Amino acid sequence: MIDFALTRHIFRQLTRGKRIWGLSLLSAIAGLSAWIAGTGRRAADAAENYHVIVTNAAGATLSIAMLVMGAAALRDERDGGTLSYLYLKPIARWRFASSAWAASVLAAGLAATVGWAVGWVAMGLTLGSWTLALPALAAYLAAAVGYTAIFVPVGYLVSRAVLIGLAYVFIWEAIITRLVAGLGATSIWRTALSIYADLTVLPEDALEALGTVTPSVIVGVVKLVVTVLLGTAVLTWTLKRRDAL
Amino acid sequence: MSNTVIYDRGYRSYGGVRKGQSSIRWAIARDGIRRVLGLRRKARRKIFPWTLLSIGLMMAVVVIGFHFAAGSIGGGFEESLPSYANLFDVYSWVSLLFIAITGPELLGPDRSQGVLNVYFSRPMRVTDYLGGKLLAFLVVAGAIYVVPQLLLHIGLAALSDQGFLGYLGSHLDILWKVPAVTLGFLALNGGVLAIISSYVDRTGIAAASYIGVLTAGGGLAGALAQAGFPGSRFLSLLALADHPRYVRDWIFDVDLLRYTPEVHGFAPWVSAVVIAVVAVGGGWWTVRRYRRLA
Amino acid sequence: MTATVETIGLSKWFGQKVAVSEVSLSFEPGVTGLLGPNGAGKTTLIRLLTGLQRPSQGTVKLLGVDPRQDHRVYRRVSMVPEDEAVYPRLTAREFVRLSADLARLPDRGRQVEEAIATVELIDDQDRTLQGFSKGMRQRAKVAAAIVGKPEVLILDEPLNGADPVQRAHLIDLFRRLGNEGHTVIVSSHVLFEVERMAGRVIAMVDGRLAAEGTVATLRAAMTDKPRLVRVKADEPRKLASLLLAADGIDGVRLDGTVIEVSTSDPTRLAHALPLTARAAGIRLREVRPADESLESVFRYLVGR
Repeated sequence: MIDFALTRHIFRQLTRGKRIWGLSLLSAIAGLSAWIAGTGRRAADAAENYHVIVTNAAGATLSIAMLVMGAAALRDERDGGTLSYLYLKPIARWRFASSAWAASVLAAGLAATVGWAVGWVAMGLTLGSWTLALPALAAYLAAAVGYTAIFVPVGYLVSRAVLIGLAYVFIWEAIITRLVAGLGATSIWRTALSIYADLTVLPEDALEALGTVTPSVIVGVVKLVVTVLLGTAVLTWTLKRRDAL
Repeated sequence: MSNTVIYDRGYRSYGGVRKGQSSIRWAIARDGIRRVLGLRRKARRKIFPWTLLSIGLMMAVVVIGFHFAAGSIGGGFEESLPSYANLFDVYSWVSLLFIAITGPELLGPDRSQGVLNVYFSRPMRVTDYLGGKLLAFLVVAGAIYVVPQLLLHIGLAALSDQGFLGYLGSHLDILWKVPAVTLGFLALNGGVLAIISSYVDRTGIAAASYIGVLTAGGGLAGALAQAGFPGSRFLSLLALADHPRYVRDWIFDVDLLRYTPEVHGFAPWVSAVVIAVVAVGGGWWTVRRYRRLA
Repeated sequence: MTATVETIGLSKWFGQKVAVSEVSLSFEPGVTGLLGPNGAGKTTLIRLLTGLQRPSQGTVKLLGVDPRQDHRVYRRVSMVPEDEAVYPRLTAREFVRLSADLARLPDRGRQVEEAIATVELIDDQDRTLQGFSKGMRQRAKVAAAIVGKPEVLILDEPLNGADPVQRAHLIDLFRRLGNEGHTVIVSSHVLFEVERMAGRVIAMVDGRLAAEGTVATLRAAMTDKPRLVRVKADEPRKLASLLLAADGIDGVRLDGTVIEVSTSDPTRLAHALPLTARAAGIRLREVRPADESLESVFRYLVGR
């Protein structure tokens, strides 16, 4: 399915340097905020606070981190002039595409997990609850899967992929899908939240972030799988049909 | 005897008019404006900035449309419709994105393409270079705020019962309020962007970092300020994105939202001071950074 | 000999700009030099040959297959790009090893060591590429390309940045590979070095094929350009004035003690020169062609 050498190489390129730390920190902001905001509060309030902050704040900060990691996977190779070292190798284009995505989702998942772990440890230490934050991990990882599935091919195709990603998160997901009922299903963050919401009982304030999307692990997972398959198919087609340089 | 002489002209340095430092700054500003707006460049470089600018203008048209509809219906609804103050919020994410690309696009490419040495081999100081970039930033980023407001002003004047000139005459305060609020947004965002853009070469990453600092910083500041330890309220001042909007409410004498510094007992003039500190601090740090690079 | 690389009517345009136009070529085992001024289309041609870019028209066959349709051909093909870009944080050994891993070479460790030894980077193999000079990076790129000894090796300006010793070494390497039966295609601006390593030369100008062949046959084919021959003799002035009257001479120029004879008929000159000298009792010291070099061929082709 994937070429391990290629996946390992792209993963290493993504996780070398300061970028992985910066994106992990960005992913951790929601958990940190929840910890600080919940300190001194009743356990029930603090727990509710955690869910509200994760569903709302992480939609901005985590999304940025995930899309940057996705866009960078092949964009770095193109901009750095090193794509030919990978392209001119006996790797089937579909395998190339899935390897690039796999590397990206591993790197994004690493940043997301670190970010989630900050909140998990914070809730564990302050509330004594080591299970409260567990369902949120599903949302973090689902976001990693979904955003990288879209932005790895976008990063390959377009030099301004991160800017397009920011427009997707802050205009499409934050504004348009809220205004137009039915478009919520196209939001990766809401898909991630639908999985989260099905795994735990979210307070009303947190459920608002879901909009009209129904909580469901199965539907959420299916959507993500379809997104991954579509993203990989688009990238495969692009690798075959368009100029690499 | 022939009077014919062939002169050996040899190499001569330029002996014509030399313009001053202000022309250097203007040349850099002009290049920066073109770069950000994609002027004299391929069509695809224009898509992002002009789409965002168009959305801003459309928002102004939509608000004018609401006012027109309310005027037709009657019943005094106009008072509750968006106006100058809240137009800043109506397309706030669009303006944020626009500014997010402006700053990095002005500073990053010169470093990443390695042409900084070419610039500083000319008779140009770091302050001339950054002054030109600042001018470009003010013109371009200012446009996303000012142009829709100008359109709104003209639209409301055209719809007013007082007549066009009558409305303009009775709303002269708009002519200083909108630029003042715009300056507040530009000063704060510019200060933050200058620091980020002077370190991060790539436009997309710098933009993402800037948005991350504003959104994440705001959330964290709010949480930290509520923590309750001694002095924690001062951490509310780290909600940087709230300061220009708090000052906006102060200038327009409205109360649109509750801002984190406001919730923790700070007056709007404190926000104005914070904006000034961020702007001056960001500018100073950027000059320092570029003096090392030059 | 069977062609390993073939193009038929190959063209590539970018909007209004035609980078490569109707190029039909074949390459066989051995070293072929690809020449042309800046903007001639050499790099675009190389990218089309390797499948990095899709032809706007025409076909490319690399070892009998279209590289854009069959990725497996890359097991036997390698390229050194003109770009200086490498992975700055990788060591030379890691960079070559990456190439070997992606190509799924057997016995990778040994192949990597061999490739690094071939380009004489053993002492620096554990340093990161960031600290390498231009020439060393070029050698690292060549090592990454030759690991696994590909049947077809395409190099775009491989001698850039290399010092004279390194250049000589790399030229020997490419010649050796060509002699061993590999198809080596080298694009270069450095004409006398291409002359040293390439048996066959292809010249491109403005995206089109200007000429192909060996240097000598190309020169011989340039019938509309008179040949230049330099003659050193005991009495150059006397010989020069006698040659003016001889058959087959277009012009004579005296440059100090050297006579430059211009002729459209070298065979006649070869006959007339010794006879004229002998009849006048003049001793000939040296007779050699003055424009047989690739540079003069190239200048002629570009200037046409």
